[in-house]
Amino acid sequence: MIMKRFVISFAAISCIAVPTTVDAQTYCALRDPVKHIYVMFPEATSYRSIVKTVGDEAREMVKKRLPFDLHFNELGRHTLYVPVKGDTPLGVVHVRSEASKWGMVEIAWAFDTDLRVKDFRFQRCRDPKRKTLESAMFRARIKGADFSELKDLFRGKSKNAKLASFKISKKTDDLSNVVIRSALKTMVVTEVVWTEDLRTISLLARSKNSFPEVDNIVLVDHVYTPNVIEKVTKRIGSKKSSIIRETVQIVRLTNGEKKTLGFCVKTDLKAGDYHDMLWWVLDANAAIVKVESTNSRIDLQTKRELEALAGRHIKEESGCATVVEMAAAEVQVVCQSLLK
Amino acid sequence: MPLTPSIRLRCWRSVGAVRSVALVLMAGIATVSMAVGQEPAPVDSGGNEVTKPELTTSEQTTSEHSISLDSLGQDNDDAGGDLAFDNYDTKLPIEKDGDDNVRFTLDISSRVIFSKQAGKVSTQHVVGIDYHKVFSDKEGGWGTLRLQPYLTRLDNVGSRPPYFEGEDDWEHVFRFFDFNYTRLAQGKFNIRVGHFEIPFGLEYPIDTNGTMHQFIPGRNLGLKADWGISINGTLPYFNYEVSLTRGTGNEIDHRGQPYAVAGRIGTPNDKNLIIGLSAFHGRVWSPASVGAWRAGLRPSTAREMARGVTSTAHGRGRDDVIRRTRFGIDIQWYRGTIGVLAEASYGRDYNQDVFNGLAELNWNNRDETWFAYTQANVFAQRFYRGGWDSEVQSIWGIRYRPNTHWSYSFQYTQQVETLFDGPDNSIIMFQTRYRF
Repeated sequence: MIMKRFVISFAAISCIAVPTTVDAQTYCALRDPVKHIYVMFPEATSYRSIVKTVGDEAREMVKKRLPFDLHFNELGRHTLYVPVKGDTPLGVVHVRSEASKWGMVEIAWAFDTDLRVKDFRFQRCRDPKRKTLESAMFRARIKGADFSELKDLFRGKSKNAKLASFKISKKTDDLSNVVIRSALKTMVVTEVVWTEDLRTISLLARSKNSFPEVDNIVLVDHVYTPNVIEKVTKRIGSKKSSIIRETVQIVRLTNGEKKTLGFCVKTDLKAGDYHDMLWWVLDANAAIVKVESTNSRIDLQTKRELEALAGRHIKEESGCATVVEMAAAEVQVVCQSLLK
Repeated sequence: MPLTPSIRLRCWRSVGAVRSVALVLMAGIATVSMAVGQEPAPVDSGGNEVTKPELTTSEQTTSEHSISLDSLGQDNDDAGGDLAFDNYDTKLPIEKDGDDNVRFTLDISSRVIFSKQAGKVSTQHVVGIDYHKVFSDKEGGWGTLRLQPYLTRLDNVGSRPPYFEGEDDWEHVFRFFDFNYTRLAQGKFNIRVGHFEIPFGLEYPIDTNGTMHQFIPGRNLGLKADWGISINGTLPYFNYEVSLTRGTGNEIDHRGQPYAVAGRIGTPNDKNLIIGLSAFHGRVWSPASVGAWRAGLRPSTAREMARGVTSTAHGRGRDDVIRRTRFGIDIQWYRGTIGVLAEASYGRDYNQDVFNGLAELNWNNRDETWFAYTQANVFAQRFYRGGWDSEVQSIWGIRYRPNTHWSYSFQYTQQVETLFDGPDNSIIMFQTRYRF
């Protein structure tokens, strides 16, 4: 009688508990990396938390851009942490878990405001080789790397893709593989789920670092009006631009008296098979103060060419000898149009 | 020969320009075919080609919006589209009200329990919510709110927490229901108020709420969570929490002047070897412990105690409160998919010595859909009548979690020894849990 009742109760509960795929929010099982935030960003005075849902869209994007998938533990409500110094964002921290032969590895990733690796810490890792990867040497090898640089380390397109050109020692191959996979997934997930937040973070950081006295940061939408396009065409002598105009981000920076201090502009540059993301800082007269690439593998010569643009005010078509000079002229025209 | 980006940059200029032709020649004829005179294909950040939309009439006007840190998290993460940069002050005003930074989960579980000694089947059904919110202002996050109220139904349950008034009962049970103020020292010194776990032993660093897998035998502290206040923090080399609580667990009651002071300091939870030291002192509402203590008194002392005892109409008086002190050490060691955990504590219930020991070996598969564990629990008390007596349990459990929503657990408990030579018992439990 007792056993019969037990079996009936067991069956009843099991019947209502048939697993199904439900698109719902779940509690994030990953622990807050409070300690790691301040270790990886020692200059941080505080941090902000942005909770969002990592769902099917992120999963599809990971599948599309990487040869591996998200584990179910990686879906649900997750937090992006934004360490700040005063009111200046320093970067982002996000925790991802990755399956390994030693169980789930939980890693707190620190990225700069352009989503390049700054540092990482294991929140949980039971691999005996953990210490080797926690060494400063390993961390230095991936510091500054962006998505394309890390992705190029992998060979193969299947889910069994392995690191091809990243050797610490044979004994650490498995864990290195897990760590780099985790970094790539974290970058894609962060970019897809926190898209607008990342844009704001990078614009704020660049603006406040370039103009510490800034009081108001104004994002300019739809900057390419017909009038501006006409001026740009006239200046660079061509309707064709190396700047992907749909992706241009511009902020105008003003002081407390609403006087323009300058501009920060982010442009996606594409010329042939050359592709780069450039940050432009311009002063109140739309003269170029600084140009920086977000490409972690930029060569020295290109870097110097970008640095040489500082202080230049490209006025005439004849001043444009290279793609970046044409882009510089275009950025100047756009910013000048915002001065009026 | 591959070209550097620098050379490529110099090669893109229009063919019509003499200067560009010269540059092309300098760079090599091979580069001419690369992209000369062609409009570049737009790509997204992943390098995928995108289609350039034509500017529409509505887009032909420049618009401006101020941005600040308070713009973060304000977009609708499901809808996509333009972000509402609607805050015109970069001086970081207090965060707007809304459901941002909230994690919310509905938690439902059912448990079937079969006790050989009681000779009956019991059930426990629980429904509740997990609510977690981080509060922020212009200087960053300053507090965390956790609300976990649960409605619990017991049917035919003999061995149960003291706040249930019978074998069949409904009760509001609070798990975490607290606010942690984190503004003071970057997480190194926080102040918590509300209902939270007693910082003692293995139970504190490992979250077992709502599961059958537990680390705190009821006989040891008599409390899992309690109402009160604590200071807590996480530092690079250790974490700590010290609490002052009511001593009555789920319910707040002053009768018998209960209270509990507890503290634990432990090495960081992100390592594979974690060691913690704990201490506990207080007057705790625990009728079962009082009963065991009284049963172990010398007969003359017991009669004297009985004369001094008065119970209330609800069966709760000062005799339900026991003065208790514990000192404990806990260790976790992980290697690969194996975990070894142990806890030992020593102390007194009034003036009777008490020892509590727990050892666990656990395993999970690589993606942690499966988790299995075995525990040995020893509880020993030195009674005035008969000296040391002990209770020993062996526990075997397994949990299957196929996705983030469902989990199924099974646990078998065998009592090897019982206090006062009581009959041995076997308990079988099965639980299904769903979290929305």
